[in-house]
Amino acid sequence: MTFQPARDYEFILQVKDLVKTYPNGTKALKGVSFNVPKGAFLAVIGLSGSGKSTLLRCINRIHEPTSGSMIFEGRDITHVKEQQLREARTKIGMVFQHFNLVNRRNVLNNVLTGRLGRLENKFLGGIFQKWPEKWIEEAYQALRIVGIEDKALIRADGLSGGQKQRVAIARTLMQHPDLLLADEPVASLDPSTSYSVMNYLRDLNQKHNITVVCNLHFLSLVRDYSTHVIALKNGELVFEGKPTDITEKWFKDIYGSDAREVEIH
Amino acid sequence: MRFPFFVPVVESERRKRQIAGVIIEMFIWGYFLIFLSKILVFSIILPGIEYLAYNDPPNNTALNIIETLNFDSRYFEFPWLWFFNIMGIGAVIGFIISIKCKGFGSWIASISKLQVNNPEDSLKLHNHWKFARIEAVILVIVTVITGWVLTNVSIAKVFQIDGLLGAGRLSLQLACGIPGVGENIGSSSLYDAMQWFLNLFVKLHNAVFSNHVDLFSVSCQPNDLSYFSKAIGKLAESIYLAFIATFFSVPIAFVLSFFASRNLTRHSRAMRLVYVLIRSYMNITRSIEPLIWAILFSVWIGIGPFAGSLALMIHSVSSLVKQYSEAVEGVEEGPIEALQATGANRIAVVWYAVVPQVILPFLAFTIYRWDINVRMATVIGLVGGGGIGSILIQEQMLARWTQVGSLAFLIFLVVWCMDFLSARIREAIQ
Ligand SMILES: Nc1ncnc2c1ncn2[C@@H]1O[C@H](COP(=O)(O)OP(=O)(O)OP(=O)(O)O)[C@@H](O)[C@H]1O
Ligand SMILES: [Mg+2]
Repeated sequence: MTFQPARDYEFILQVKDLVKTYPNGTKALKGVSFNVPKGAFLAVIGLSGSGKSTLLRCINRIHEPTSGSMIFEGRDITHVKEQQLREARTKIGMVFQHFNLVNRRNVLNNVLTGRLGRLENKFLGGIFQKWPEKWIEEAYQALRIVGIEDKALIRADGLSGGQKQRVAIARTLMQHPDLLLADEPVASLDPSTSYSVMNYLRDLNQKHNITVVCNLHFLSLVRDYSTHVIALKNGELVFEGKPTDITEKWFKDIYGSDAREVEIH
Repeated sequence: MRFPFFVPVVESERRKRQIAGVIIEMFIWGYFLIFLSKILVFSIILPGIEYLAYNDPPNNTALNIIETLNFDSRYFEFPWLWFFNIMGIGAVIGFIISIKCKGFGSWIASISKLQVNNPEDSLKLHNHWKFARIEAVILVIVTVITGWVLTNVSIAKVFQIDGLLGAGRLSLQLACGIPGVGENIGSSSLYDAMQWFLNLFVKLHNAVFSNHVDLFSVSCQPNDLSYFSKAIGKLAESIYLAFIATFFSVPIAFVLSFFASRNLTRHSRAMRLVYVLIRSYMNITRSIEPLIWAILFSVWIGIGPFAGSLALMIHSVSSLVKQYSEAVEGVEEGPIEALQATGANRIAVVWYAVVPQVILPFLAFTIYRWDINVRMATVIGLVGGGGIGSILIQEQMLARWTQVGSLAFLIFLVVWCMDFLSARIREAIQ
């Protein structure tokens, strides 16, 4: 292991021998182990189909892992029951490539849904309660952090891609997460918007002290933003280190010998 | 191996599919054989020979065959024992075939798993099922022929003169019930014009054929306004009955539909059981026509609109659950994942991620259901469900065709309005 802080509890997340086999027989992860130090900005790289999305979805158990374990903030969350799993999930934010906003509702409502994990389960899961005033205020604040407060009352499908992703970030901000999982957050955005969204993620990482695990496609982004890198290939971990350690040789190893690096500016 | 080996599937799933394939193949070959014997031999070939045998100059060979076989199509019934034996033989053939070939059965059984990843495999897949495709074509042909024989399709019956005359007389009387048709404008009415027009065909027939028939001369006594006012009262009853049935079935169907959607009930065994239970309940209630429910309720509760609306409600709930749950199964997974990731409970996930996506389709289905219910409400009275159908059946039993015509016209008006309205509303909310 290349990065190894002194004491165990400085890892916010420890993944051990994670295996995921999909019902159709695809072995998406074949025993992946790595640790995420607190406060890191960890980039996950690898070819399309190498299992990056699967990895992130297994960490918060949107997909049930087949075997292996995840230890989040010192607690094994691999086999916990739904109630505890939900508690753990409230501390783990997630941002998606396709934003996954509820298109028919307005931005404010979308942001507020980030707090659903704290909803008091009074009657029918608490769905008929009104949003508390304090949460609404906080939602506006979260929108201010990502710079689109003025769009609060617009329907989510009326936004551009970059704006949608910022709404999604505001939504996870409402969770006050300790860990943020980002699955190719900028893959469907143009280069300059990509940088602005990545800057927001870096702000969360540095100012709000949120550990980030982020799937990325472009090595230039990896070098600019991440502090740690792991690389997957066919469901296996093939590289673990600092972004500066990715040499030409490693690059060919990860992406295949025909690959050439493309830059985004 | 019948399940294409290059399609990635878990081994247990592959086994399941293969067994299902064999079973389907056995049934298909049983069906083929039963077609060959029952339909081809006993409903087409033997009756054909029989026809030749008793034709005017009898065909001796045909007569011989019929007499040695002692076959008489009027009294012949296909014995059940033969049926089972043939089915059994077919099953054995199907079993042997499915060991050797990649037949239709295994194709159907594996159809939902046939996504392949690389393009070469999809070419392979195309070749893999050659035999299955031939079987499918035969299956369609066989079914069409069977259907033709079983429904007694006969072009000759459509054009026989007695039937035509009867239908003409009935249509004239029905038309007489439409307001305005029987009223004189000047010296003649629209009704007279129709009668004259139909008589043109009768005259044509008399000129061509030797069996002369009488011209139509049915008089028309239009219904007066008081009859219409009584009928409209009953019509209103039908419309409200339909509305009540729809109104109360919506909330029930709304709640049930989430439990009847595959994508929301995958996570636990208990939920899957609930899913299966609701689906089976729905399929049972939906496969029984509202008319039959209306009979049941009119015995239970007594004849009247309440029985009718309960019958419609039972049917509406299950139909709506089916349509709603299909909409729920079609929602985007993304927002569901996103809200699950925030740690929201399952009810909240459904409420905040699924409901906003399905609310418009739900509305459209509901309006469509109301439209259907209004149509059904007009016939549900035939069996004691109240509304306009209840007088329709009385008039029809007394053979008062002019009155029946009037009622049918009113029903047509309502159905047309509802169709127009519901199409407009659905358009507006899409
Ligand atoms: N729901 C699923 N069911 C079956 N197989 C899946 C499913 N999701 C992903 N896979 C398979 O798992 C493997 C890994 O997929 P994954 O989405 O994790 O890759 P990825 O690295 O995120 O790729 P990309 O960069 O294109 O997003 C692929 O071979 C894919 O086909
Ligand atoms: Mg992915």
